[in-house]
Order: sequence, then structure tokens, then C-alpha cells
Amino acid sequence: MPETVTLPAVKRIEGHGRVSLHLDESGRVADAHFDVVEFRGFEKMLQGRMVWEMPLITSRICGVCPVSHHLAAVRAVDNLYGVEIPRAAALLRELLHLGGFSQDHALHFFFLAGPDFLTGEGASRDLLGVIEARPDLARRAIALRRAGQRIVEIVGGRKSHPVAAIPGGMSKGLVAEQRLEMLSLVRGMVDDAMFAAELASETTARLLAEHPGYASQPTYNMAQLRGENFALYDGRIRVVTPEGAPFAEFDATEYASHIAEKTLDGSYANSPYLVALGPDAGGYRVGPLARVNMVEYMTGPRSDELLDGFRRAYGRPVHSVLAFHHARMIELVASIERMLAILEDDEVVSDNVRVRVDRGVEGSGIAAIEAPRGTLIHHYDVDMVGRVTKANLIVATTHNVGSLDNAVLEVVRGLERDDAVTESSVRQMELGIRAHDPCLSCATHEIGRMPIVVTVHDVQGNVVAERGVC
Amino acid sequence: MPLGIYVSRCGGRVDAVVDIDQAIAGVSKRAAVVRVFDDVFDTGVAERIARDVTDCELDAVVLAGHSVEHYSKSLSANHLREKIAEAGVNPNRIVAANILEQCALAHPDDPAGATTKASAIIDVAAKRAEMAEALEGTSIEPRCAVMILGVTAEAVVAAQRLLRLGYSVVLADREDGCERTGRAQSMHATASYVMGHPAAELVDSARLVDGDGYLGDYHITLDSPEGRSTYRVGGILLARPDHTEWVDELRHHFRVDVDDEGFARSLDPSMHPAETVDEGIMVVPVRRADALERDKVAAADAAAMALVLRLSQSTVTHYRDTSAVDESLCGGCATCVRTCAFGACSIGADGFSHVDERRCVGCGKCVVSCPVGARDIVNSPHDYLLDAVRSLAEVPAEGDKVIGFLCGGCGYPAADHGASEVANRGRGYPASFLPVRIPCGGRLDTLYVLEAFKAGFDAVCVYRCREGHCHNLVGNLDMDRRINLLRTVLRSRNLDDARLRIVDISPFEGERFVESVEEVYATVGALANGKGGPL
Amino acid sequence: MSKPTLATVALGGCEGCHVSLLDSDEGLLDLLAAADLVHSPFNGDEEIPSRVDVVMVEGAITNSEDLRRLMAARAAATTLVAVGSCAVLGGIGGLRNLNRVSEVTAEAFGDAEKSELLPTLQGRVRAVSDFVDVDISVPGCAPETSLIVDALVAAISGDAHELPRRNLCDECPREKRTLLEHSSEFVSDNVYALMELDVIDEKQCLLEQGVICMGPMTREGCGAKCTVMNVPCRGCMGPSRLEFEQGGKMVDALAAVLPAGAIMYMDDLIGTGYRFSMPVSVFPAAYDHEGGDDA
Repeated sequence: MPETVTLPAVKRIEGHGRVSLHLDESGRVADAHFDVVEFRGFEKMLQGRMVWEMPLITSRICGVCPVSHHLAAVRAVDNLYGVEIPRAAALLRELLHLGGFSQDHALHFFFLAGPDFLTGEGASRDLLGVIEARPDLARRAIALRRAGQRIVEIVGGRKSHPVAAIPGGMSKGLVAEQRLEMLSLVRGMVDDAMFAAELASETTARLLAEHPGYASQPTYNMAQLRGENFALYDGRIRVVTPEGAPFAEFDATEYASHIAEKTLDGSYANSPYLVALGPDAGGYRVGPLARVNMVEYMTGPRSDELLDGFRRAYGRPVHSVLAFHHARMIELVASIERMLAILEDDEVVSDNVRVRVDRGVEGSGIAAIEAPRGTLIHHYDVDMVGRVTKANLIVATTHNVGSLDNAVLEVVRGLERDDAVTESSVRQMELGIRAHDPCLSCATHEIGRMPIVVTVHDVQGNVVAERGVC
Repeated sequence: MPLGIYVSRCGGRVDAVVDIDQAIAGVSKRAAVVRVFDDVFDTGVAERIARDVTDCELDAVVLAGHSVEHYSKSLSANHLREKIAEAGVNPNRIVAANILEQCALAHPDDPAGATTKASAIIDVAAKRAEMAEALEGTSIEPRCAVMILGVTAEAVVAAQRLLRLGYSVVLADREDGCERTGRAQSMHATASYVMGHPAAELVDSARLVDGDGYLGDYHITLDSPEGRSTYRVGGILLARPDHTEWVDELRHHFRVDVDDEGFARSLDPSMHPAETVDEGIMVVPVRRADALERDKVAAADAAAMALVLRLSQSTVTHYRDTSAVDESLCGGCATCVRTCAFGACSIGADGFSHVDERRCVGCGKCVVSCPVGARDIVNSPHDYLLDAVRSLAEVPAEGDKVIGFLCGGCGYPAADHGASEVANRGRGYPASFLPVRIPCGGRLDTLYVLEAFKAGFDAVCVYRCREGHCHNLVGNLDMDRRINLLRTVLRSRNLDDARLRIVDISPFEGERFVESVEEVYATVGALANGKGGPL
Repeated sequence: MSKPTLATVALGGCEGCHVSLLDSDEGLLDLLAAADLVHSPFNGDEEIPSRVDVVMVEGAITNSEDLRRLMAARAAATTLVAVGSCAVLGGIGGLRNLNRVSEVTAEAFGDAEKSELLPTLQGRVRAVSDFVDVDISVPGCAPETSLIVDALVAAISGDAHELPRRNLCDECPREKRTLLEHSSEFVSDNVYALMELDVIDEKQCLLEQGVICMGPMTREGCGAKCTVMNVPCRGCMGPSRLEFEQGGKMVDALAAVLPAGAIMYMDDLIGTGYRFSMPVSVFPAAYDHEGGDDA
């Protein structure tokens, strides 16, 4: 008997999402999917646009990680036109990326996923609860975000949808005062970031103890690395087996030979899979946990030490979804260390920040970048005048659709309908979903209520239960 | 705002086709006074209307009958408008509704259609009159000085007339005109009189490098071997229409109508041969250097007389249609500066656009090119044009409906001449062709074209002066560029841009006008998808 | 006396406006002290309460769920504040209006069928004002944090709210040189992408350097951050007078400034002129259809 339908507030990939559970003949859950219910159609919209506008148009895919799209796009255009940008421009772009990266991770940990485990009993499990119950945490979060966004604003021109990365380099360089301001900002972030990493470590340990074995299914991992190093801006894409052994390594431009996408019936997202393993077995994971699993080195002594600690605690590779939070905060520290290194490099104030780029190349431009949530790939086909004829974007969160599905399924597999939609089941599913940080995430918190709608389908595909209200 | 509607039967030509009662039925409901005359130029009509203005405190007047061109080109016809203005109606609120040349005479075989169209035209004119802002007049004492460009025999004759009447005269020639003329035997006495006159100044090897102003008050700057001087005169006389170099220099500063050959064109070749589209610029209407001497003298007399008629008034009142700037919107982007062919727009120290009212000719190009919509112009306000497009779209018609944007320089007069063509061939063109008059092609905002399609017109025709003939210099060019860019917009929306036609035309090409209309109707039905329609 | 209540709703957009609001940093705490945030993507019930004093709406109407939630927001709100170009103008998502919905989905999913349970895509993306009255509008993609906060503060306190009206050239510090000359020539012989310039003159107006800049066609208020960064304005604040569409005005204005042929063939008139405002232009879509599929 269908229960009352309430609204999904599971958010983001390009919008809102919800969970659907599928029952087999015996009425038990056999399959689960995390469905994306929002769609904007960027692939088609980009056709007919000039390719050098891609950094400005694609950033509008996401309001939380516009920097990632901005940079993936500009690198794809550089790739198309065979451009070598000046070193100072590469430094600035990386700095821009890290500024956005750090504010995003801080936002997620403290305000989105955080309220689940940071507020304790009595306070509302949302951003308001954090502000009320833990004003100290709220202030740290705000400070980290403010610093990260200020860096985005200085280097990128604006906080929301930055503009300065252009094909050939950057539209404008830095002056000395700006460098000094950013140095001061970044130095000020260290303490809050280390605190967050410690908090994440404690929290993860606690969560793992409370939910032993939860969502720990072994999975392939993918990330773009610079050699053995944690490097978000460029590098080569690597895939490792669930045991951590090398499986594939390729340049972003060859992605299509390694990654394909399948469409999903109940979702507006596509699901990428590893071609070598096929659509059913080819799932893999991206994002902080994948990156932390795969690197040998972070970016500096603090983050290296944190990585050591992580490995000593959980081994390598780590599959438990709950470890995402810890990995995410290690990345926060790493991004701050890297920002410091960049700012201390004198070339960052060089005025040689661009080269001229002429249109007149018909072909493809492809690039990948590590966005906060994982590997982001932009691919444009372009005509002689520079118009985009075809575009393919694999957004970070979609790589994790399979991993999300698995985390959800694991909670309710084999359960009967009514057991599958209890408050406790739904909360557990949320835990796994939010750990992935699927864009502006379903970590939206509602006082005592489920932010996700769960629908249950029988073997004919009819909806037999929906659950959204607790 | 009390409205007066005055309909002229034009000696029976209008009501032979149009049912006047039906045509004014709608607008009569809101008019304070409605009268129908046999001919609005008959004796006593002006007085009758003037009395109405006083008695009923009329604020807006529609003269339904002849085309507005008739009033501008005929001094006698214009006299009617002057009398109404004297009685107290602002000149900008006296509007002509063309139900003769572009209605009764255009659709003699479709009385029902012509009546519907007449009703719409009168209605739009009434709205125009009611919505119009009062134009403020500035009165000046005209200078009794004339600049004569080009020293020919005719020019010297005209100069002599002017000097005799107490005017001062500047004679400028591109070469050694003064000397040259002096050598002609028959002109010797006249030439000596002129050359020796204390109120005459002679400038040889001159070029016109700048000019601004209006009837009664011009500044003309000439460059010559002696240097650069600015002359302050009340009127300008162009010695010959085919002095294309002078014409070319003049057109950069004043409204000058030119024909296919680049010669200056008279206001009307038969009735007003010496006048031009600028009130204070006259042309000696002799076109051939080898014309008979008596023709030259007659022409010179005509030109001198035209000048004196105007300059001998104690005051001249100008109603300057200049573009106005809304400073709450103007960001000083300077698009208008680049747009204005007459250099009338500048960005001031305050950061806003300012209009030099001595240079603005009222073409409205800057109103359209203002990217933020900070400008408007009294002679063709935005709200009026948009409303006209939308009202005309509601006119019922069987079959296709076409709107025509007709510029005052060519399109509209050509459409008027279409009446003769209709008479010749004995067959009218469709009455569902509805005209909107704009001062210049440059006044056509792409918005009006888009709105026309959206409101349901099947085709939009835009008439523009032939290359090089726009008397606002480049209004036609700018309009052409805008329209062609607009095609990209139409196509992006899957509208067939063949529904948007540009027709190059000259003011007398009545035949071409009629043919262009028939061509649109013949082809538009076959066009693909794209009738705007409400979405 | 209880505080005024505030709710925020994210419809079909990227949620950048919510992030911009979060960027008020400590100012957010002040806002939360002045009003009770009863519902948002971060807190509250799934459905908006039936009565809320001030409701901020971000995002365009792209599907049936967006519409349902908008109507609920308008019904609940005493004051409805539309924030961001998606809500106010339809936004960049409006570019999909140039194609049939079936073409857009085909590009993403081929001919794969989709479950009926997914919200139905609207025939064309629309602005909030297409459906409901809006009390306060704050365009921008995303609007500057201060613009959003000012609007919310005005709504909460019941004060009047006005946006600046001049075009961006008013705020932009770049210098006009050739545009100030009385000339009938174009300011450049061609139209260039920014990347194609040998040297970007950091002080001079970008239009004068042959780069299409939407600044003249766009409302100020953003601080001209893009042009300060040497990047041309792309019009995200929308036009000051909404009855004039941005693309149409771009044509009207630039026809006298830059060579028309170059604008047409070397650049993307539609994608630049209508990037944020397609849904509120005279023809908001290329296909006249409703309901999620095309004729």
C-alpha cells in the first residue's frame, strides 16, 4: 500500500535526487538506485557556442564547484589549440582551483554532512543546529570558506562563476598586495584545517564503530594524479583494482577508450563504467577516498603525516564510505599546504600570464581535473571557426552513481518493503549518500525528517511504497 | 486630453472607397469633436477648427485625409497646421492620418478592407496625438545673412537680390568662382555689384568642414588658404544641385536629400523647387550648366525669394525634435557617440550623454542604438511605435497580414506615390498591408520587428533609402546591418527570415512600391513555419 | 514578538545563489538573528510551510517539480524575492529553449526511455515571473552577496527595494577612447575572441579592442568584476529595461560599432546576446510547444 509521498530534497548532480528500491518476486529488495531527477541539458546547449566561452558557460553547471568546471573547460580548450601556457598562469590556475576546493570541502564537512555527527542530541541536525550547538565549529567553517572564496575572487575575478582562466593562460596577473593578502589568508587557514582533520579523524572512528562494516564493498578507484603525487589540477588518470593494484593509466584525452556511459531508466544522470569490465561490473569510485587511496604523497609535511595516520588506522586501500569524511579533511590540509607553496613561488606575481591563441583548428579538446567530488572530464568537438559541434561532460558525481547505489542497496538488500523504509533504514542510506558528497548534496537537513524520498517498486516496476516523511 | 477628429473627403476621393462613418465609429467615442469636410483645405475650415480648439479646449487633433507628406511639402497645406497650432494645440499633437494616398487610392477595389484600414490608421493617429509630448518651441530672430556655396551666375544673381534687400552674403567657391564669374560679360555689372558690396564676403578654394544649427541660425566653418573661419548665417544656398562635393560636405552636418546621382533634391520639384528638406537650406533649381540664361535667373529669383520669405520674419519658432537622455539609465557607454552621423552626441564631464541640439536632426538612430534604452525622441516615441505595431496587429483581415515600416525619406513618399501606380494599373494592393511611418530607417528598432512577428504579422517589410541617399546620411546603412543581424536571431528561433523583407526604394518609386507589396503577398504563403503567434 | 520568518527554495538552477548568500560569512549569522529560517535546502521540512513572511526563490522553472514548488512558495509567501538570473530572467538554462526537448534529451541519453516517475521536463525553461507575481527581483549569475542580502533585509523589514538602472559602463573603470570620437567608422576592423588579442590593453574598453562586451546592454550593480579582470561582460545581470531584450539591443547597438559580418560569422550572437535572458526575450523558444515534448 503506497504511503504518503513527500518531496525529495536529495540534491544535486544537476539538481535533486532520490532513491528508488526495487523488489523481487518475493517482495524483497533486490536492487537500489540513486536517481537524479533534475536535468538541464548542457550537452545540447553547448552546441553552437564558441569554444572559448566554455569556461564561462560550463561553470554554471554547479554553483558550489564552478571553479572546477571553469578550469576543466579552459584546459580542454588549451588542449584543442595545442597551447602551452606560461608557468605563472599554471600556478595561478592551480591556486584558483585550490581556493575553490578548500571552501567546498569546508562547506561540506561542517554544514552539509557535518550536522549528522557534529551536533549531538538536542540540536537540530542541520546548519542551524551547528550554529547553535557548536558556534565554535560554525566560526571555523565560515573562516575557512571566507578565505577560500577570497582566493577565488582575487585570482579568478569573482567568487561565483570566476572568469580569469582563458585559453592561453589567465586574463590578468597578480600584484604584490594581492599575494600578501592571500599568504596571510592561507596561513590563517592552517589551524582551522588541522582542527577539522582531527575532528574528522575522531568522527570517522566513531562512525565506523557505530556502523561496523557499513558500505565497505571493495571497489575500483579512479583519480588523476601527477606521478605519485596528490595534484588536483593536472596529471594522468589512473585506475586501481579493489586490492589497490594498478589497473589502467591514461591521459585524459584517451578517456573514451576507457570510460563509457550507460543511461539509467529512472534517473536523468548517466552512469559511467570501465569499458574493460563492462556496464555491469565496471563501476568505480572517485573523490577524496579514491584519491587518498591512490597517492603516495600529499603536498606537504602536515598532509603527509595525516595520510600516514589514516593508513595506520584503516589500511590501504580503504573502501568504507564513512572514511570519505576523514579523507576529505586530509585533502583540505593538503590544498592549504600547496597554496602556500604556490604563493611562496615568486613567479606567481609574474606579469607573463598568457599567450595569444588563434582559432582555426578543427578537432577535439579534452581535459580532466580533480574536482572536490572526483574526476571531471570535459570534451569538446569544434569546427574551424571555433564553434562547438559536440560536447561530452562527465561530471564528478556521476562516476560515483554506482558507488552510491551500492551504499544504498547494502542497507536494505533482502529486506521486505516495510522494513526497507523505516526511519533507521533511511537514515543509514542517507549516511552513505552524504558521505559521497554528491554535489550540493542530500546532506540537506531537515529536523527529524528524511531529506530523501525513497520509492519502492515491485517486479513490474509499479511503485508500491514511497517514503519521505518520518 | 480632448481630441478633435477632422476628416477630409479630399473632394470625394476618400469617400468613394472608404465608409467614413464606419471608419471613425471607434475613435469618435473618445473624441470631443468630430467633423467631416469636403476638403480640409477649403476656405473657412481652418477657422472652424480653430474655434473648436478654443471652445472645446482641444489638446490633440487628427487630420484624416492627405498624407503627412502633403502637409510638409505644401506651404498652403501646412498653413492649416499652423493655424491650429496658433489656436493652442501643440504642433506635436497635430497628427495626419493618411486615408487617401495609402488607403482610399491604394485599395479602390476593396472598400471594406480600405474602411477597416482607415479605421486602424485613424485610431493609431489618435493615439499618437494623445500620447505625444508637447514639443517646446524656441523662438529666434533669424540672422539676415546667407552662405552661398558655389559661385555660379545664378548664385551671383541670387546674391544681388539678397544684398539689395539688406542681407549680408558669404560666397564660397571650391576654386576661383568669384573671379571666374566676374569675367563673364553678361554678368559683369551684377558681379561687380556683388563683389564690391560691403556686405558680401568672398572665399575662394573653400571646403566646408563643419556646420551646425537651423533656419535662422547656422554656424558654417570653411577651410581656405587663408585659414579656417566660422560664419554665422541665417540661411544656406546651394548654387546648383549637382555640386556634389558641396552636397557631400553638407550632408555630414545637415539633412540633405539626394537623388540617384548624388545631386541635392528639392522638397518637391514642381511646387517647391528651391526648398529642401532642411528649412533653411535652399538650392537654385537649375540642373544644367548650359541652361538658358533666363531659366537661370528665374531659378535664382526663386531661391532668393524662398530664403527671404523665411528670413524676413521677425521671429522663427523651431520645434526641435531632439533625442532626450534619461540619466537614471545612461551609463556613458558612448554607443550613441559612435552612432550619430552628425556628431550630435557626446559624453560630458558628468559621464552622461548630451545632445547638441544644433546638430541633432531627429533621425532617432541613437534611440535605437542606446543599449540600455536611455533615450527616446518626441517625433517617434518608443511607446507609440510599439503600441502602433500591436494595435495594427489586431486589425482583422482574411489572409496574410503584412506590416510596412516606411521611412519618411523614401519609403513613405514612395508608398504615397503608389496611389498613382494603382490608378495606372486600375488595381489596388491588399488592404491588409498596414503602414507605420518612422522618421528614418535608423529609427527601426529590431524590437519592433520581433514584436510585429509575435503579434501575428505574416511578413514585415522594411523600406529603406537606396544606398547613399539617406538624408540622415547612414540611417539606411545602420538599419540594414541591424536587420541582417536580426536574421540570425529569427533563424535561431526557427522563424523563416524570408518573412522579413528589405526593399530599397526612392521617394518617387510608386510602381516599385506596389510591386514590392504584391511580391510579398505572392510569396509569403509558401514560406515555412514561423508565424509568430502568441506562445 | 516573534521574528519574521524566512525560507529559501532552490528550483532549476545550480544553487550558486544560495552559495552567494552563504558567502555573507558572518553576515549570515546576523541575518539568521533577524529572521527565523524555517525552510531551506539546508534545513526544515521537505515542503515549505504554508505561511512564510519572506521566501527567496532561486532557479528557473525547468520541470513539473519546479513549478509545483514555485506555486507552493508563492502561496506561502507574503513577500517573494526572486534571486539570480535563472529565477528573474530564465537564466543560462534557457539556452536549451533553442532546441526541442526531445533533441536535448537525445543528446544526453540517446533514445533511452525514462521512467514516468521522473519529473516532466517543461517544453521550455521559464522565469519565475511567467507564473507568479514577484515582489523583489535580484538578477545576476550569481548576484553579488551584498545585493542578495540587501534585498532580503529590505523584504524582512518591509522597506522599499530598488536596483541600480544604468548600464555597466557606469561602473566599469575601463577607459573609452575611440568610442568618444565622432566618427562613422567601426571601432575595430574585426571581432576577436579575447584569447586572440596580441596584447590585452588593461585600461581600454574591450569593445574598442574588438571584443564583444555585453556591458552596454547590461544592468550595473555587480561591481564590474569581469571587466576589471580584463574579461568582457556577458550580461548576467540582464537588461535594465526588460521590455527591451538583451539580444535585440546587442544587435541595435553593436551594428554601428563593430562589423556586422564579423559579429555574425566570427562570434555567437545568440549565445552571447541571450545567454542569460532567452526565456524573457520576445521569442523565448525556438519551438512552440508545451508540456515536455514537441510537436
